[in-house]
Amino acid sequence: MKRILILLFSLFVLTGCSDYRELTDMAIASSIGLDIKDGNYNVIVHVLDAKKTGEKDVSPNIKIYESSGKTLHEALRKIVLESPQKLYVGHLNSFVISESFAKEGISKIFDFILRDSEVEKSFNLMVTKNNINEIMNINNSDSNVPLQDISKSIDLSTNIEGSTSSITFDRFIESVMKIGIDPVLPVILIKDEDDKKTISLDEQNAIFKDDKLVSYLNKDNTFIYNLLNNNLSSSVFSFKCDKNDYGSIEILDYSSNYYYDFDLNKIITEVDIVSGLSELNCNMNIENNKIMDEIEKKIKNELSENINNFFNEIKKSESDILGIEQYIYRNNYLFYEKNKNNISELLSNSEIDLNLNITIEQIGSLKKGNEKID
Amino acid sequence: MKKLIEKYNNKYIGILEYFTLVVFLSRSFFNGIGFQKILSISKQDTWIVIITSLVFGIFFMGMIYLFNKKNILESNNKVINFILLIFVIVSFMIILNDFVTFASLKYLFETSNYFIAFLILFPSLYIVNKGIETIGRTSLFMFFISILLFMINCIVLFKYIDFNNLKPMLVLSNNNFFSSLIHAIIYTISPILILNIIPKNNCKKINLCFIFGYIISTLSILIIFFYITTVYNYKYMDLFNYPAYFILKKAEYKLIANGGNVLSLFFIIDYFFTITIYLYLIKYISIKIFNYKNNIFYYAIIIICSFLSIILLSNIIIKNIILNNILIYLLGFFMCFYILILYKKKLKKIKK
Repeated sequence: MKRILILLFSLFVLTGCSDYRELTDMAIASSIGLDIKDGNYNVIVHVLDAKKTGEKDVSPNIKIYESSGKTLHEALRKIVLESPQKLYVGHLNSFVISESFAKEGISKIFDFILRDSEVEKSFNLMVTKNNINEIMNINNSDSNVPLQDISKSIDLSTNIEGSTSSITFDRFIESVMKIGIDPVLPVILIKDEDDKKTISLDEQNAIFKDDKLVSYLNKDNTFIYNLLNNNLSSSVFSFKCDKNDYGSIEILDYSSNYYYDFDLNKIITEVDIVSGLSELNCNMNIENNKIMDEIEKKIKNELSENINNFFNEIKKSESDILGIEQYIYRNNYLFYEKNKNNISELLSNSEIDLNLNITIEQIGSLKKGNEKID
Repeated sequence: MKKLIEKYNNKYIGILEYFTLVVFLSRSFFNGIGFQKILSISKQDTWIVIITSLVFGIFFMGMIYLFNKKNILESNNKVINFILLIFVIVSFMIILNDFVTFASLKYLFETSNYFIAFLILFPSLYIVNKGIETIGRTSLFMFFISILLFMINCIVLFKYIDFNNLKPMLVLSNNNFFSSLIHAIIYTISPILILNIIPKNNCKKINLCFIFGYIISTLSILIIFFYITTVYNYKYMDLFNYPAYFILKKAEYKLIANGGNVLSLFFIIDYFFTITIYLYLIKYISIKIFNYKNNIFYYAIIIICSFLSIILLSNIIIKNIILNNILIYLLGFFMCFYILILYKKKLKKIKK
């Protein structure tokens, strides 16, 4: 009898259904856009809405809600005034921040997102130069969940194209908190073609100093940034093979490393690239070894120039996105302690020593390259 | 057959079961306050502190072995037993509240704290009623599941390790080093000393089991700390109240999202057996002191303590004072008290 009573009691209290939430009662947020308006947080939220579009097909769509509040939490909670469901941010995919808010410093949003354990921390963070309302209200037939698709594009572009640098929220905060390294965020914009607006990735990337946006990195510099940070997997690099034409190599394998010479105040960079010739639009017979050497030399010169330009650019921006200061802090703590007040001055006066090796190991199905008609 | 019945008469615990309880109990203060406190003091050098604490801990265990070869902490002195009871009750209240906070923050966001406490107390009390031998066998079974989860956790998170996060090494000031070393030793050793009260089957090998259990537990803590300080930078991990759980949130698979929630069952097992053994000890010591035969008195103590634990420690100010200022002294006091009892016993033996 005692056992039956315990069993019955357990059935009622240990079923795990206490305070349950039905899926239909939740408004699952996929993206959030944030701006500051008159000192208030203005948020625009994309909420997933699963609707039957055909007989069998159930494709997600989005509903757009907007609200504002003195804190981020208040603004998000106010969405309930428009939505019949409570907002759930456990599956957040992307977070867009306006340029003006990013310039003020985005650490204000850290607290709520980190404090609330229900909020997902590994969503993609991005900046937009456009008006946040405008970009968040783009909802066209090409993409049901536009910002989710942009997140995928950012990841793909970082790996195989190299003109964007993706970063998740947790890694962004980690970079901000680390000593001697600053983060880079991808930028999205509105593309207006034939009266059809779409969200697209910008070729520029936002450079931060701590949590504040300070400048932008152009396409070539972002490629170098990703190259030096070993973020690329099979990117393409185009080079000028004669006065008017270009050729391309696909990076098959590479390793890059940079370190600081404490005695000579030099940043030493070592890059080894193994590549395959993917396109050659000049009339060159690559069966001739001298021409092959010449091509490798051209690629090396162009890439060296880009790497030097990149270093000059980051010296100007006063932001240490490569983390040279972090290298010093980690590898020579005494030196760091001695020079930590003038370390940025030290780095801006530093020289660049570049060791770049490029080898072309594959040439594809064509054995020559001089078949073009002039 | 008679021997078998005698062996499993629910009054004694085997050495393997005892070993598993040592491992569970030694980690009991770590998931909550231990990881936070030690990480905030010793930063990226935490792994060095834990290795040093292991060396000192083994030395301390060796000393205990010399003084107390049978590994028994039994006394008929009511004052000593009362002090032990108070220590166990306070530890139980802290761990119960820690579990409730952990569960409500990480899984059961909208469930009442009382209900969460009931969820763990109900099965724990059931096992306690079955006796120490059942506790031991359940503990042994769950220990294997715990090891499996631990290994999966390590494998899944391995790809996120960045050794550079451990640099610069050895930059900790002497004060901070000794402070975190003392914290590490006290948090790991003091909870397991109370296990000496438990009646055991094989007293000959029990001391070895005790030391070996401590080593395994400290090694697991070392591995967890290693992951905490290498997967992310320590500065970021220092923001969170359950850094070990936060690391597990990184464990995601292509098909299974939020795999960390399942893998964090590892911590729940630790909590469960810590609470179970404290419940058993409360029963064991209180019977010795008050000599009651009806369990109603025991249940009354548990209910009052559980309510107090949730009500008192729900107040953030009180909780901060207890966890940050009082707990370490309480555990330290218990270690000193334990050594004093052993010393007195040894003196008595010599006099005799």
